[in-house]
Formats: sequence, C-alpha cells, structure tokens
Amino acid sequence: MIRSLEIDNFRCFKSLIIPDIRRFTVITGKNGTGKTALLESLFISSGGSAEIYLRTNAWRGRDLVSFSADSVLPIFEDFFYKFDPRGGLRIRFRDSFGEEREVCISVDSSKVINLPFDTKVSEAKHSLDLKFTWKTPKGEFESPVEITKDGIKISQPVDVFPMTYLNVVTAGLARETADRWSAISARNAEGPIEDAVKKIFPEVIRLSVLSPGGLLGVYVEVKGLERKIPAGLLSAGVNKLIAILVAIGSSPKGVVLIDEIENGLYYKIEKPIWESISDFAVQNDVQLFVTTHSREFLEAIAPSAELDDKSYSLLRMEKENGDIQVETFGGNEFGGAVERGFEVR
Amino acid sequence: MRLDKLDKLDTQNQGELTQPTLVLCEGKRDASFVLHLAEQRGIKGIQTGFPDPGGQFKVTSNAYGKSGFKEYLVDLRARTGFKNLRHIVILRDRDGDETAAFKDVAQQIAGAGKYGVPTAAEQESEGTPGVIVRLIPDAATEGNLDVLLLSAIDATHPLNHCFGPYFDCCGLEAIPIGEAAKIKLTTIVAASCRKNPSASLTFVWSQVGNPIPLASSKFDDLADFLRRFA
Repeated sequence: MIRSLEIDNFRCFKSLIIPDIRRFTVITGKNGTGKTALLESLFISSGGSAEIYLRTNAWRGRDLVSFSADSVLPIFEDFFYKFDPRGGLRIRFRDSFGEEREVCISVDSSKVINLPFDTKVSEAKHSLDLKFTWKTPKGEFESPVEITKDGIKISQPVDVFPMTYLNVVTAGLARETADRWSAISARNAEGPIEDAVKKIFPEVIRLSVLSPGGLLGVYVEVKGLERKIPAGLLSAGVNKLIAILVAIGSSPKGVVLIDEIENGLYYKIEKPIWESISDFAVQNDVQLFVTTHSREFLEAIAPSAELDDKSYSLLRMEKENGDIQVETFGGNEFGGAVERGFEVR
Repeated sequence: MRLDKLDKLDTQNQGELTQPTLVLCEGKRDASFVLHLAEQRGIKGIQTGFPDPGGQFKVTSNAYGKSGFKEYLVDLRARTGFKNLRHIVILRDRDGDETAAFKDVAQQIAGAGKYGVPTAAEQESEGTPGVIVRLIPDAATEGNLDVLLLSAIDATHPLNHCFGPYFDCCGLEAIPIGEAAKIKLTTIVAASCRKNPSASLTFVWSQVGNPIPLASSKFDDLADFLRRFA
C-alpha cells in the first residue's frame, strides 16, 4: 500500500510531499488545483515505459495524431512544471513495507542529435533530449524513446506496479472492462462483483462478457427483458459500478485511481455503492484514490471515514500564490466535518 | 441540509471560512445577535458559528450548545479556509460562576487538541488561530445573553409600566437569573412584535417593533471587544 508520495516539477506541482496516505484517499479542490494531475503522477510512476506518459496525455485530449520534430521534448514538455524540462521531473512513492518506486525524466545531455541535411532550423532554442528512468525494488530501468522515420519507438514496460486508472475516458471503455472481467472470470472470482451489482441494481439477474459482431463488452441479463443488453445501455450507474469493481478485482494488492467518482451515479445510491466498493477493495487489498466535487459523495462516505480514521484521508488541493498546496486530514477529522455540514471541498 | 438551502447564519456556520475571525456562539440565536450587532456597528472581518444540535448529518455525537464547543473545534480543522483563520472568539454564558464558566470552555478547547488554550477569559491563546473566551453578559455580571439583551431594552418602552407588575406576579425571583431573563425577554418581544409575536431571538432583529436596539450603549463593551479581532 502506498504510504507517502513526493513529486517534483510534474505538471502543476513544483514540489509536493504527501507524508500520510491511507487505504481510501479522497481528493477535493477547485478546478485547476491538480486533482487529476495527482492521479496521473501515481499512474505514471506505476508504469515501466515512457509509453504511459503518452497514454496519460491522450486522456487529456492531447493525442499524438501527427508528429514531426527533431526532439522528443515537444511531446513530453507539458509534463514538466511550467513546461521547463531543465530541472527534470521526479515522482516517488513509498509503500507500507518501506520500499520505494521512483520515476524520473531528465535532460539527456549525452545524447547526440542527428539532423538531416535538408532540415530547416526554424527555432532559435536548443534541442534537448530526455531520459526516462524508473527505480523500483527490482532495480533501475531506462525506457529509451527514439524518433524514427516511422514514428516514435518506445520500449516495452518493465516491472509494472498493479494500478488501474479510471477517468472520464477509461471508465466507459467497454473492451477494457470486458477484458478485465474475463481475466477475473477465468479465476472464478467474478461472483462478488455480480452480487454487489445485483444488490444495488435488483433488476440485474446476471452479468457476462459477450462479443456480438466483435463488439466486446459486459452484458447484463435484466428482469423483464428477453435478451441481454450492454451494461451501458441499462444505465451509466451500472456501467460505472461494474468498471470500478472490475478494476479493483483485477488489481489485487494494487491501486485503483478513480477520477470524479460521482459521475453517472444517482446521489441516493452513492452510499451503498461506496460500501460495496470499499468492502471489495479491502477484500482484494486494494488501495483507492478518488477525486470528487460532490457533496453527496462526501456525505455518503463520511460516517465510515469518521469511524475508521486509520483507513481514510482527505487531500484538499489549493492554489496559493500560483503554486499548488495540499492539506491532509484524517478520516475522523474530515468525516466529522462533513457530517456537521462543513464545507471541505 | 444542502448548502444552497441555508440561510445566512447557516451559510456562515457551514460554508467556507472567509473571514480572519470566527465568533463561535452557543447557538443560532446568539450567532444572530452577533451578526446583527457587527453589521450595525460596522465591524468587518468576523464570521459566526454555533454547534448545531447534532448537525444535519452528525451521527456520532449530539453535543450542542455550550457543551458542543469541543467537537465543533475538532471538526472545524478540515473546513475549507481554516488555514487562513487567525482568531476564534468563543462566546459563552457566564451563568452563576465566572471561574467555572471559563474552566468549562478551556477544558473543551484542550480536549479538541491542536489549539492553544487561553489562561484566562478575554486572553488570546498561543498559536494560530488564537483562541479567546469571552463571557456573556461579561465576566462580572451573572447571567446569559438574555440578561444582556434585556438590559438594552429602552426604559421608555411604552409597556414598561405593565411589564414590572406582571413579572412580579410570575414569581421569577425563585428561578435562576438567566432563565428569568428568557421569560421576560420572550414576553417583551411577543408584546412588541405584533405582526410576529412568536419571533425568536434569531429573527427578532428584522421584525417591526423589535424592542432591542442594537445601538444601545449596553452592547458597546462587547462590540469594542469583537472589533479587536476584526
């Protein structure tokens, strides 16, 4: 379980230390205070290849549609604080066994840059190249990134930490959810997921993965309907709950990151949904990081947080003098405050 | 209760802390008086709060009123804007014993943890936010908020000649001074606010015929005290 996190020069964070992280971490804050960036920092550090940066950027709407440059810097510069790569960036977390995992990007001054004879140099600034390094308990790995005439070559990931990131894009990806469900089903471990879904949505009879016409997805058998339908067609809430439970089930002893957890969930079922999610996370020894803007969601988890101080923490992100600051509160403090009706977002 | 459904007092009590000073009262009617007094005297920089009876959601405690300061202070730390708070002024009824009243609040502050504990009434504790305890009506006068408010009612109130004999008939000398003041005040408010005779002290300030003048010199000492932390 991740216990602490340090970030330097990543996205909006100049320097950030979060010394006390618990099983259930709720992240609040106004727009633009780095909630999603904090999840991204964790996700990137879990990877083992520079590819994970590109995926993360794609979810932000920064797709690598076409590429022409003599340096990889333009592709990766928005990961650096104020777009300045000179100081490099570093993300490091420590787990409950005291082991560390660290990812760094630094400027690789040793690299020779070859320019073809017909290159028209249009920018006055120097080209820089970047070095991607992961340090894990198993050792130190580099993930070279090469620009070729066919595109970017990136190495395969090494020593990946079990972490799943559900955001606005990935939470709705039917194929990914179906793939995860299949892997869980192969272990005969899908029962608790199905039970949890049926408990909250009693109209659901059974869940299964189908691939009609090659469209892989999780399908639901519903009371009163003669055919199975895609989970997303039944409701966004069912789809979201399945995606979260399946992510937890496929990341045992790992981490699941959920951006804006309340999206798609009717406020009156947020409490039972959280109870299902948190119970399943404990069963699978999974740690959850969730961001939220929702008062209803905070009210749904507050009683549990207040009674289980050691398992819950609230991180409130705030922008102060242009820099992001994080305030940390234990479950007792933030649960009590929410129950009293205090604003904590 | 949803924040968008709250009145001004509830918003101040539950929303983001936006002022440098929080005046923590025993209840909503005390907070309403402080809020209206501050507005009337042009005192800026304060926000009022009170331990709501059980809060709207609070399931683990039902501490409220003068017994609810400790839990309120514990919960307060996670509230948005807390780190910008400079002073917390706790207003508590003096009741019959000045020392016991202060000691009760000091113990609650200590029990809340992470706050400096003042050593005497009207003294600010070490640390940020500094915590100050102020007794009502004041350290030397037995009673509560109602005693203070009663003292401000104009001696020229047209029904004064009736109130005196009526209160004599009520046998109020046999009950504590604070309770007697509540009975007197409720009677005077009911007789004065003809359009809303049941107006509580929370809402009396906006009623036609409100018999308690906020401009009264009886409130000067409290207003000057609050101004020190504004």
